[in-house]
Amino acid sequence: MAEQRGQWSTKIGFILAASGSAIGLGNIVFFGANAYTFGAGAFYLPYLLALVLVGIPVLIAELGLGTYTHRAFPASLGQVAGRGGELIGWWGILNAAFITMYYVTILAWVCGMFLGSFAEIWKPATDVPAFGIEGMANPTGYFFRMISSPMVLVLVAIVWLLNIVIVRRGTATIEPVVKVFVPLMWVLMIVLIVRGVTLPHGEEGIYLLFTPDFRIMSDPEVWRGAVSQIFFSLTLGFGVMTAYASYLPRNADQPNNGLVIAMLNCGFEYIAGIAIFSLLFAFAIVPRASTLAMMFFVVPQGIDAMPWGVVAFGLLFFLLLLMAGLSSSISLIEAMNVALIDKFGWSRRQTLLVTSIIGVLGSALFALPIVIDRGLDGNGTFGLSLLDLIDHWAFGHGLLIVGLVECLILGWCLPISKLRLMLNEHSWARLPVAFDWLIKFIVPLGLATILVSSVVGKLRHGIYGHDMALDWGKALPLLAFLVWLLGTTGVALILTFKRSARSDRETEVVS
Amino acid sequence: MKRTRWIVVVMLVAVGSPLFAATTIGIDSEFPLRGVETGVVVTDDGMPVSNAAITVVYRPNSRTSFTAVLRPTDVAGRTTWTPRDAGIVTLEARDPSGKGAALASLNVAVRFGHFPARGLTIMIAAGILLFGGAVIGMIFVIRSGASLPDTPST
Repeated sequence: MAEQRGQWSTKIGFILAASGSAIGLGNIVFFGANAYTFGAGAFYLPYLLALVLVGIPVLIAELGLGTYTHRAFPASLGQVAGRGGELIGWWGILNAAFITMYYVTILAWVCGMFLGSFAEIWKPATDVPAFGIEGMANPTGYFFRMISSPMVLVLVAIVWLLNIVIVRRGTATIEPVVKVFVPLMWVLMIVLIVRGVTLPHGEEGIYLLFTPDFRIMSDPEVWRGAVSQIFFSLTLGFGVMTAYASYLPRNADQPNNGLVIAMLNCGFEYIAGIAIFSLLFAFAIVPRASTLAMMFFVVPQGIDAMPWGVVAFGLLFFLLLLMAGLSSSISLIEAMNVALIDKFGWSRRQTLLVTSIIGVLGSALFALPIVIDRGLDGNGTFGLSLLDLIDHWAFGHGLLIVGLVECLILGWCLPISKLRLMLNEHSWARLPVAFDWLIKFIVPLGLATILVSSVVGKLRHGIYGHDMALDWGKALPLLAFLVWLLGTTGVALILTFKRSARSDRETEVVS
Repeated sequence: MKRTRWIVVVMLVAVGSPLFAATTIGIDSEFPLRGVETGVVVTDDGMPVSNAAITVVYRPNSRTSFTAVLRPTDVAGRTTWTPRDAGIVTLEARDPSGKGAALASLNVAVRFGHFPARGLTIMIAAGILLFGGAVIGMIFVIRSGASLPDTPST
């Protein structure tokens, strides 16, 4: 099994892979959208506090768990807390599987926009036959025509193929790719930031991003947004960091690794935020408060308004998104692969075949509604609504629930002080006792508050999506919730109680 | 990957923008300054629109958005506006009742004029924390040797 798992050949390789996993589409556009939504300058200070109080401790704990057990997320939690721990580990992996499916679909759309950046996107308007609209303003028109074309299925296949090629031999193929991708992402981002701040009044976007408004900061929603942003941005609760850390020797300096990964991730967000806000300010663009709108409409709109280099900067932007997305999707797929390898003792090739077939089908399912029945619901938004609903549950809630239970397991069952002492043996940066308190009390309390407020909101105002403008499929929001909840829980139960390769070996030895 | 109602908004923006074609709203300064008065003018096919209700939406599409109402336009289609906050705002012109769909809208970026000291402090402190932390951490990684000789036990 050791041969199937592999290990990182260099420390830098591990750090680049882990930071590449954390730096994804979310850092480039989700941060900007979230910061704007929660008041820009009023958001940044709570965001920094959330990084120190939530992000770094949980990240170090996840990394520590990986090196402590040398197992994937479900097996690691299972080793600490038995079947219950393994169950929550699989549940996290299955949430990550849902996310991977539509994440690859979104990456396929990014590919389509990249190809369109050579010329089509920058034309004034595009006909969108799916909606019967002649001359919809670009880049919106091009986007809707592209995602409703059967060609998008080919793009989904291409993105999956890229993922398979990169993860086919685990760390041996991931490491060389991230060593190119991650530095290149930084270079491309710096090019964009230079262009952004040199636009007329672009620098005022920086003032907007960092100048706090203490009146707005008194709103608890701003703090909730900041904690969520940090949690999602650092890829916590996916099992990725535990999987990647399981490829490291036990004497790895995980507190330092956690610090570097968190700083690189948030440093990238820092410069991405500057680039995005400069663009928004220079062209007075009102963000549509979402990642996809930001990615496919708002930023391209800003690039289109540039006085020169429109095609070049458009290509750079979508190339950056593609690389950032791939460095994240490979980590999600690898977390699933290693979990299955650890559980069933399959070969890497077998495992990759299983995850890829399921993944390709899932991604195609997210792309298909818009392709096969383009006039669905009269406004063509059925497929996007489906993606939005699954994202709301798997990403917006699933990971927070996993994070909460994970902290309770590590804090109380391990217990966390044991992990801290073990990590401190090999680290220059000694974790203080406060680390235990954060994992045992503060982080679970914060995450529980966010989740409870979300549930209360839904009880008061109805399930998420109940007010979506769907002419048919009024039951879709409830159906999406049930598919997510029952699907992840049911499969997690099956995987948890299925006999593992290890238990089979133990049975053989006994007999 | 954000859970918001972006779909409907996007569709409305994409399909609905031609509605504002005839009436236009403009301002004297392309990038007005916070606290400095500027002129707003509403025209319809080049003719001034008098008595139009003007609203200013500060930080539109955010959770911290708020709206201010300006004096209606005069016979020359003009009114004045002193921006309360810096940032992105949307100016909207409506019929005299102030209700119904906007006749015209315009997004404007209101300048700070200078980098506020608090913002500058946070930017520098965050930069030092993030990039300084990353550099120090990387130094320790490099000092402790780049390779990973041990094989993890399984």
